[in-house]
Amino acid sequence: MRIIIYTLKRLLLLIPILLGISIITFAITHIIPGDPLYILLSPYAKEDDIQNARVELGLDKPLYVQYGIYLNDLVHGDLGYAYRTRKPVLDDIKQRFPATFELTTLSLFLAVIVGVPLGVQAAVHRDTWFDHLVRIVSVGGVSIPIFWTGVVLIYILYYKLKIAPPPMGRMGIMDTPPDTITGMYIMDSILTKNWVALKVSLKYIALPAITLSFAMLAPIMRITRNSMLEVLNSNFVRTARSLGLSKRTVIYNDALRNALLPVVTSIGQILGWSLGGEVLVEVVFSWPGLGYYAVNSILNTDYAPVQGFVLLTAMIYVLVNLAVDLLYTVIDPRITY
Amino acid sequence: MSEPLLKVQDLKIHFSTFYGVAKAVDGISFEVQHGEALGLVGESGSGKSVTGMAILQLIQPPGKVVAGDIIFAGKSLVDYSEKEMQNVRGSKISMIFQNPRTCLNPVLTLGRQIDRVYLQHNNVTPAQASEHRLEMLSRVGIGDPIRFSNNYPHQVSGGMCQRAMIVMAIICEPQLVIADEPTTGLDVTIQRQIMELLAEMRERMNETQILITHDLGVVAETCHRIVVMYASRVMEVSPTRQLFNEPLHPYTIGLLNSIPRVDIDEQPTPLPGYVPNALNRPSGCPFHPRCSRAQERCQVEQPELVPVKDGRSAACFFVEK
Amino acid sequence: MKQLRKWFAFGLATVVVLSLLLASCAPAATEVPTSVGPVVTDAPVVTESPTEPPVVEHTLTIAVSADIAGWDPVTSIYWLANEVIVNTHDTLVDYGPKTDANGNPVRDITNVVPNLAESFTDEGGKVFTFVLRPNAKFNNGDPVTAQAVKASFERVLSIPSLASWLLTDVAFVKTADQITVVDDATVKFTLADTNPIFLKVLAEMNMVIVNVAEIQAKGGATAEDQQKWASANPTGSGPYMLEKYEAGVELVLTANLNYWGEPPYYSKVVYKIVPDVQNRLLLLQNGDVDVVYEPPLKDYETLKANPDLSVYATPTFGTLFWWLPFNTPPWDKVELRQAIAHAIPYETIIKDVTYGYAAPALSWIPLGLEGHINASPYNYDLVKAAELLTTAGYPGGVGLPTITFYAKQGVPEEEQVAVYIQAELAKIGITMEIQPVALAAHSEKLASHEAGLFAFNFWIPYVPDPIYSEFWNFKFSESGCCNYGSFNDPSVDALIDKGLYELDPAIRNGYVEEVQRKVAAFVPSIPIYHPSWNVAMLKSIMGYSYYPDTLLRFGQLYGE
Ligand SMILES: Nc1ncnc2c1ncn2[C@@H]1O[C@H](COP(=O)(O)OP(=O)(O)OP(=O)(O)O)[C@@H](O)[C@H]1O
Ligand SMILES: [Mg+2]
Repeated sequence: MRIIIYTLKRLLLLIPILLGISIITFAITHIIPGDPLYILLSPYAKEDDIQNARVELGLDKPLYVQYGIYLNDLVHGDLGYAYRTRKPVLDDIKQRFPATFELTTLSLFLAVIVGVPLGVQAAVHRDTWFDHLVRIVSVGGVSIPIFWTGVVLIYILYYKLKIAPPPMGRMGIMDTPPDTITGMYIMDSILTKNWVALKVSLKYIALPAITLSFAMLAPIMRITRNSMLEVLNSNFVRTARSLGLSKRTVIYNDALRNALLPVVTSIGQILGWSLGGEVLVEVVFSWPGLGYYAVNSILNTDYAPVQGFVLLTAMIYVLVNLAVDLLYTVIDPRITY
Repeated sequence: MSEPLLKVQDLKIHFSTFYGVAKAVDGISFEVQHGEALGLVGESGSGKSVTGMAILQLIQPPGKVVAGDIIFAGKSLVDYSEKEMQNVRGSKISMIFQNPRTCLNPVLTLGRQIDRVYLQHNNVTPAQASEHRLEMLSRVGIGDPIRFSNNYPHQVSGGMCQRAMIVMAIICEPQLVIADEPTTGLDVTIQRQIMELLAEMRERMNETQILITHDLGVVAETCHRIVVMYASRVMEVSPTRQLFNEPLHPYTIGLLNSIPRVDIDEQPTPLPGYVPNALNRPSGCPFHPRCSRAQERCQVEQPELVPVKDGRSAACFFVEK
Repeated sequence: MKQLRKWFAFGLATVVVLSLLLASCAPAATEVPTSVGPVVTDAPVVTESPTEPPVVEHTLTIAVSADIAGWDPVTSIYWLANEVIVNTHDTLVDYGPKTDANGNPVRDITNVVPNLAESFTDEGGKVFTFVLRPNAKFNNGDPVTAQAVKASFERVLSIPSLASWLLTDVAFVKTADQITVVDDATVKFTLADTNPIFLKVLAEMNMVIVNVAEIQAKGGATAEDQQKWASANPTGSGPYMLEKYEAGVELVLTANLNYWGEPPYYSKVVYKIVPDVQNRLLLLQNGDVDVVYEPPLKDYETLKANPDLSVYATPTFGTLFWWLPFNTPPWDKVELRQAIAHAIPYETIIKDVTYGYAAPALSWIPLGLEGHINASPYNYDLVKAAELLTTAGYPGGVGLPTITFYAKQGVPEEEQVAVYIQAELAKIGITMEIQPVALAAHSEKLASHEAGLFAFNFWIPYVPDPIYSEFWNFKFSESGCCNYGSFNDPSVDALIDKGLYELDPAIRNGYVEEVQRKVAAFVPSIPIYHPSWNVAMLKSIMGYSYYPDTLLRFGQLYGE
């Protein structure tokens, strides 16, 4: 089938993309100042010790040789060693990825289930007070720094009202996480039927997810509204109305389904773009995810984790966009590959 | 004479736009009898489509029905709630539009689009709806209704789309079908087929039809009576034959002269001037700037549509009673 | 057909998304990298009931900003790792408690007391004999024998590091033969020369005793593998052991059931990583965590006013030094360095940057260490600074190159101090650019003694001794710690060398004073201030005592 070939082609395209990215990240991380050996050994290390370690780790070799070694390791699934955590990068990423994935998908889910209906209603009730309210909220979502949203929510809901759990990560100190299957607490709690863990993990993820989704909400709402306005004026919507179909059917079956394409496209982009917000949310809520890990690694000039993180992000971005493109064919029968 | 199926009385529809109020329909009245085919003709922008939409109460903001009444089967549709209107639309009155391809939902199969109309207005199972649909499709001349039903609009021709649309419009056997330039955007050969199909359906299903068009040739063949509109107003209402033989209103006369005719060996003479903008209709008789017979009175006083003779009416001071 | 194709595409999209999920599947199980195993011993089983776990579990929670792994005492230098090390291991000796002049609970650095060693003797400041506690065991149950202690120090000597340098050059234990096993419980150190601070060196956290046998058995074949294993698995005999470490999330210590001393009141200590400083304070004020280190000084008064909290601000022996280039022209002219020293608004900085929680630096050796004198003639005096510039041949600063100052990213106080200095230098005609650099880059610049370097180094002597401080800071060295300006004066080096073995306190203090006077004249570095070490904790926590290395000993804490 053509679609399989298309998918395979797109997946094959990942290879040159990842190759290119690996070269760029390798080059950047090795050119910026700061020798990681001073992290590995100690800032007080003597020059001789640093030299010895440099030879031992092959850091004295020319850059292209180092890259060759790195690439070879990469092909064998070895992303290198993180000096800061004293663990293989792959282990670190495996440990943190589920936390980030869970938070991002939940936030996106919230943003979509709230943002799309709001955008639809804003378009249907165009230029009413509701439309204006939605616009204000969406401007807020874009312009209020995500850090600030998080801090305010914590201050009010945790510190003052004491209804939110402490911003201490995925669970409290006394809570036991569910048995690890996927690493995502909500998923694992459900899979192992551990309802206590489910309740706790939902409680802890609520504020960070709301904070992140607030920022994602704005573009989704705006794009839904604009796309809906266009579709609501289209001839087939007029036809549907002229045939006595109920308002709900007209709005959701006729208009929304046709307005969805730009929304789905934007979701692919939002995922890429929300990474920055993700890092901030992780910092504010002590969420042990990949974003904060990467930032910390950058601050500590720990090369390998940064490279691994960028590669993973690029791969996810490409895969998400592939998924989006495949979703197109489901939403719109006119699109084929 | 029995009570007409539809009575449009002094209907006024205004669009408030950035540039001012566009009086798209400015006090029109006409009647449609049971079983009749009524032609609604006029140049572009004269308010025909808006009138059709108003009958279905589908005027959207910034448009608004500001005055007048629409009485369908003895009931005023203007007083209907949105919910009540939904039960009228598609079921008692339906509409067929121009450019059928753009009027169909691109992401639903044709079969599904037809079925949901039937399911909306009838208490039947999806299986029954689908059975009914296949029957109707054969009736409008679709060879392989099952295959046709599984297609999306973009996969079939424009003519086929219009057939699907017609099926949607008549599947609930409405009493009144409004066809708004149903052949615009179609190939010439297909146009004919569609017109024939509409005529056939009217006879077989005992429908009443309003045919909106600016093509006098089309109405001449299919309609019993004709309403001529110009600049948001009705100029003349006459049975088809009389209208062509002996047009009353200067505008009708001009219109007839402007089309090439097979029976008369004369060059068509186009109407001088332009259709006035809906935002800025002339005072008095809207046709006076282009009328050869216009006098001072026409500039200030608006002529009412008044019965003239043989059930004909016209809106002109100089038409003899 | 069409329908099928659609479902197929949907399926594919789902597969792509799921493959993302799968990538996260089977994540590294949060392993417990401890070494709890069956107690293997050749000795006949003694029917002595093992220490029962405490009935009531008390948990102490500490919110910290970030974590850096690596608990090998020989190579560790980060304070959080160091704190884990001092709580999971024991030094042979320790300092006794006392209360300082301000009523702060601190350690008496003149009173070295037994710790893992039950007793010790000092013969002429050169031969030291330690008798180990008979019940001392490593956390895996192995007994702490004289052989194990010797092996632990041998290991320090074998790994080139700050610790090994400390042992050979400061403590005069140059080779392993200087350590002899007298019997299973007795170990003897014969130093290369007399040494007045040997015991203090042994009280330093790098000198804790590790279980070399376990490291060799479990760490793998090569020395490198063993070192990697050791940095992830503390093997000591301390009151706690590492139960769990989840990088970026938390680190959990639990009471070591094999501990020779009193079982700690807090049977569990949890470090929670909370990157945002304001959140750490909110958590403390809501009672969700028990301890927060180094709260922002601006919030200090608010915390003090909170009746539920105890806040300790203890003066330290730490000094914020500003290192100047000693050899790079034109800064090799001493008058220029003196001019800079006169241009620093010391009092304003203490008032504005540290909110008063710092002591003015009157010398290169802090008040409280023996031999301290008010050696610094450099008060804030712009007139004098300008005069000195003229003397140096740069009146009004004309002709001087722009100073590039490297500020460590993520240490706001240091950056603020730099800004204050920048403003004053501008007044006498010296321009200074502040360039923030990442931690590693900063460390590299310091350690390589980059030519023309202007940078801060915060120095805190883990061995609270003036000669020790002078040894690291002012003895000539072209790289490494901590003479970052490569200050070179043979007479100073000679004084420090003599001080290292001089037993007579009066003579030794004379050396200390002389070094301070010489350094004051040369100004290779400028002491800016001595900060206090600040800890905020719930009022219900008792037993806090400040150590010269600032690290908290959880075993000493208890609740009401
Ligand atoms: N959405 C709208 N906004 C503003 N004015 C409108 C709108 N729809 C219609 N009008 C006005 O109503 C007038 C009549 O429009 P209508 O579509 O009924 O003309 P028509 O007779 O159907 O012409 P055509 O032959 O081009 O279809 C137009 O001239 C226009 O000014
Ligand atoms: Mg029209």
